[in-house]
Amino acid sequence: MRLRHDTPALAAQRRSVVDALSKAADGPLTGRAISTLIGSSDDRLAGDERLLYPALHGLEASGKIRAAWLPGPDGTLRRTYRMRPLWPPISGLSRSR
Amino acid sequence: MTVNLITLVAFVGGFLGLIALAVALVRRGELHLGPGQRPDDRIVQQPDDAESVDTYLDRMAVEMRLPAGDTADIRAELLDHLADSIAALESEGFDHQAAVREALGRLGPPVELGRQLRAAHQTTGRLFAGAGGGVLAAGGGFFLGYIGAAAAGFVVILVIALAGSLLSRLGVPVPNLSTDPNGSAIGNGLYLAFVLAGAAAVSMRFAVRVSAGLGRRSPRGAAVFWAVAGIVVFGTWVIFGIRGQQSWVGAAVAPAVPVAAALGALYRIDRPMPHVGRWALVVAVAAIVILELGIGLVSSVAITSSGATVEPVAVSQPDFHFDHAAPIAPAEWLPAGATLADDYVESPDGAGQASSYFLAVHPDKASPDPIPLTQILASWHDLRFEAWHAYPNWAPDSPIGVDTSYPSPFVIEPAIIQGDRLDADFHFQRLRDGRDWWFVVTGVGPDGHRYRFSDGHNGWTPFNGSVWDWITAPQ
Repeated sequence: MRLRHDTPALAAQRRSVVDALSKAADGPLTGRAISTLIGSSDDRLAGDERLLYPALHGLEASGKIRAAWLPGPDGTLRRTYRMRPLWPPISGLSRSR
Repeated sequence: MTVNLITLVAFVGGFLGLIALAVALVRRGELHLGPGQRPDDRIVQQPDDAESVDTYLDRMAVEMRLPAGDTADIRAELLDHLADSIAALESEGFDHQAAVREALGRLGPPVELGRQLRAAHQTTGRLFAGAGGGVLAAGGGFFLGYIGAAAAGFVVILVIALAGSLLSRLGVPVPNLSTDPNGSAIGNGLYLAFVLAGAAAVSMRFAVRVSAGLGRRSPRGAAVFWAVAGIVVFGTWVIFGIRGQQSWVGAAVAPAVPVAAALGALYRIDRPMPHVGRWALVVAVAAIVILELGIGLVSSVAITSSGATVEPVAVSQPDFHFDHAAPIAPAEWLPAGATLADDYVESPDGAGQASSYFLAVHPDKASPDPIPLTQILASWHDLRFEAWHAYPNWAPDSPIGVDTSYPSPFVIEPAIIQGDRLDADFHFQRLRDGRDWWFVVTGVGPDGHRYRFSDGHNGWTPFNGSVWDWITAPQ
């Protein structure tokens, strides 16, 4: 299936990502963790993993979310996302890298 | 004085500020163009009978067409994702190969994922940011390259001068790289082309790296655009825009500037520029030190030279060879006391107006009114200004006066009567061989022969125009 950039599915995926990150209380989430959160919802379109990373990177490009490489539990760097703070900017998360 | 100091500080500060901004933009762009900060070292077990993870990611990366740094980061992120997914699937009962196939299948076709990620990264806003940043980086890079190339060129000149001096002492003939036999400035053209070529190359390289980094485009794609833009802009500028003294050598090397711009944009453009800030600082400081020392050295030599005493030499009146142009008009065909005075007024662009007028020719001393010019020249016709080549007065040991090796004047302008004087406009600055000239006013007398009215006026007008003006000059 050929997907276009602005399909309803991608828009729904973006909304789901924003919802998941807004509700995240444990700090920044990896793409896999966000996918798990979204997968537990009832929205079939939003649960499409094919659109997860296009949605995440599109939201980051538009400035709605921030990404950063942070060490995971095993010490390896993992790309994480969180909502863009209004003020003050969070140290270490103000730039993608 | 205060205003001048403020202006100078603002001027220099503006240039340095633009260079600093360009360097900062390049460093920002390199974050995306470099190898990426996330090491791609996560070990993912490779399946034996399914499309491998690497193959999947390779196909996706090809379709993304993003800068290397962004591509490396996305690959690392998806490797993390796949490793977690595979582990989770295996814990659900999948065998390893099935878990790999399932994890990859959930991400969808690699080509489609690559397209989607490219669309997510290459937004219109980033395109404009890349274009605007590229223009600023081009400006700052030009100034950085200019001062760097100016200093490097200065060092090259010193080396050549030293080598030439040594060869001369050894009796080896050394060609004159400063001026050609006609006095046209070769050295200036070569030095200017060298400096501008360096500036253009640095300018375009900065522009490409910033445009690609901020716009999330492949450097090769951005390089083609900037190479074409550099050829058009720098080519137009050096061929049509820069005015001054020219020479055939200068005209021949002028295309090196747009070529250097294209090479700066294209040649190994994928190579990272990780230490651009450090190099910019080194180049700027070295250039300032070299140029300051060079200017000081040249100034001290000039002062030393000017301090030398020159013994006056008795000079006899030389032969100016005016009769080569035309014999002087017989006095009996002009009013008593008629002496023609010549003048030449040059405008800033090098054009000039020649004028000649008879000094106060009065019918009698009691009358204040001079004889009208038309009455003085009533028996003369075909009055004209003739510009003859003159011996170069800048060359040592050169004869003085009209150059007798030329059989005819190189410019002839009709003499227009304007009130009490004769006028003609000359454009020696647009003639390739009009540097040293001597004009005289001539006319055909009652006997049908041409005579000159005075000894004329001489001058020195270097070519002042663009390379295109030089190439298309009438002579």
